[in-house]
Amino acid sequence: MEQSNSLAEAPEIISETNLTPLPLVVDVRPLPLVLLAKGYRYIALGLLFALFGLGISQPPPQGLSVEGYKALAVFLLCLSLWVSQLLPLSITSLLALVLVPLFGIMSTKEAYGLFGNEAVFFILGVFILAAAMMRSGLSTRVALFFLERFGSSPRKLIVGILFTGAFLSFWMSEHAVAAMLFPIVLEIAHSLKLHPLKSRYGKALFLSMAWGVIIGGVATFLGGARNPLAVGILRESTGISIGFVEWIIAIFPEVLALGLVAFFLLTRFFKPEIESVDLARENIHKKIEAMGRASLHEYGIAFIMLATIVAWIFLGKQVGLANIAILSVVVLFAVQLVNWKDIEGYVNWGVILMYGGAIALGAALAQSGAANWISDIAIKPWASSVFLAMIAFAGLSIFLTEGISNAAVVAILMPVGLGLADNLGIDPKVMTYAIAMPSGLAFLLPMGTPANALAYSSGFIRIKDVFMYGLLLNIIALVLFALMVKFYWPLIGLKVI
Amino acid sequence: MEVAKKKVMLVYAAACHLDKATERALERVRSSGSSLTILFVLDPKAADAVTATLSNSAFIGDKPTDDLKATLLKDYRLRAEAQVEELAVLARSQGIDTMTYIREGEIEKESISLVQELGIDLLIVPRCKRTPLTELVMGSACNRLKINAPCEVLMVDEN
Repeated sequence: MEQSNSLAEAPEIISETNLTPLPLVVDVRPLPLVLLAKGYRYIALGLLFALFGLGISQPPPQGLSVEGYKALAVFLLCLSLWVSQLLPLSITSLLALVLVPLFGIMSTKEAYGLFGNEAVFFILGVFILAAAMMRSGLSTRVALFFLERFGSSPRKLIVGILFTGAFLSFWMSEHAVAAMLFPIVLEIAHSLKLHPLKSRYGKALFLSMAWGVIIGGVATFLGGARNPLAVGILRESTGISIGFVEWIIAIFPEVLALGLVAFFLLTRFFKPEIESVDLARENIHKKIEAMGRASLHEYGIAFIMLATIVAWIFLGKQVGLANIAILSVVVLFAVQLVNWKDIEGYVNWGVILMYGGAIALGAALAQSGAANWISDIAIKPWASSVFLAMIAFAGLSIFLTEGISNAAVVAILMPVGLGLADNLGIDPKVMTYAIAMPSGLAFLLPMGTPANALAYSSGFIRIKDVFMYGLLLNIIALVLFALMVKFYWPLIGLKVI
Repeated sequence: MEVAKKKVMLVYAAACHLDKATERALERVRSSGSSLTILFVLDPKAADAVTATLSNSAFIGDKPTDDLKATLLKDYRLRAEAQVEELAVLARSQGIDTMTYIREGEIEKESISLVQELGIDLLIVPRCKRTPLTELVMGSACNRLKINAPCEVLMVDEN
């Protein structure tokens, strides 16, 4: 079997030594379509900005201030860009940051000041801490530790992967956990000689990976940057905040319930066609042996991570979550547990641009009165029941996130949701939970979240597997959320009104 | 005078069920005393769609994204090798002279290139069903192959 051409080889170039000319492939589509395919992005961007220019030059509608109208125009432009991804998400947020002072919605000092928001630096600190865990191999070691203990039977291995994904996503970005777990699960599938597209157990393995990280990622501020983003917008718009432990207490019952539902679905509908996972256990054991003993380096990072989590829990309110995160990062570098070059490759700095700009835009909408105006005109008339309005927002969040980034969902829905909360007298914290938590539960589509995309790319899962059971999970998640709002939150002092 | 044996090539790019295309390829080879070439084309961009979501919307750093891309491509290659081998074993069990290739690149260019190199007479291409609108707007690798290949092309609808 010949294997020619590697990724490393440059594209074929006609030269004296190459007697085979580059094959000419003619695109046979109609010419206008070809031109449209090549230029649609520029056309779409041009149209969007033209519409924006036209819109923003109009007088504001009744009941809305000039600043509010302009904030709304900027918001709609950014919404279109976030959804279409004609520009990278973080660049759209940067655009928001620039347009807000340019059109006099807010002063330059205030707009840029919001960029340096506490939430942004908390997210940055968390990402660097997670990067340290990944770079040192500590997160992989923890994952293998759990898998070895859970992997004594096919059913237990599914529990192990579900639990490992969820547990790790409590403490670091769920997407990073998915990226780390995927090669391990892939090797498990190969070691068990499971056939792509045919093996039910193979489907269960990858779905348990995806569902575990998705469910775990909503439990704390650490699993998904959308949660601190939502709290950041809440704080800048209302002055109210949600604490680290407060979030966990409010959300955890749903996380636990969803985990149980996921386990039931995986073991009921994907019954394993194999009886033993000994080969997988051997594989995991070999990987653990290959890693060798944990180094002082890993112990050091683990200690700092644990200390940071304890500090967030007990000192979060007094010291500030971002302060603790950044101090921990400083300690990591001070004791040379990490170096800049290593960490740089593991952190995507675009996250700062995305979240900073989104928070500034959210604050602009709130301060200018645009958020209240939207909810007054567009939502309040049909929001006869406060409870139903909240569930509707949760439903909107859970289904929007299938098509667009969950950070974009939060950036879009939070200002509007907080406006409605203000109008109807809903506790803004409750609205924050209703938007942020469901925005992380993208079970439905392969591209809804990186974890799903990875599971689908394994070749074991078809679109209809993801869609069917994902839809079921989405609906169950909404029902559980409604039950939690109605019965559990009042017990912990969280009232809708 | 001995009639030259025709060379048949089965080309595909995604690991999926190829029952009909395989059946047609083997049928043609058996009836004309041909040899069979199996070509699987790995498109490196296949991994980009997945890793793009990691870096663009999940804000994962470059290093884990690149590691993941390498893992995905390695897995695609392993799957391709397994599938190609499965088809080759089936063909050889029927006494058919079979050669296999795995190449990386775009399916049209790699197929045409190998057709020219080996002097293939018939190219068999499995085709997944798409709506006419999708084909018109997105184009179709199968259609482009049909127009551009320097040999007879037989498209087999798999679903």
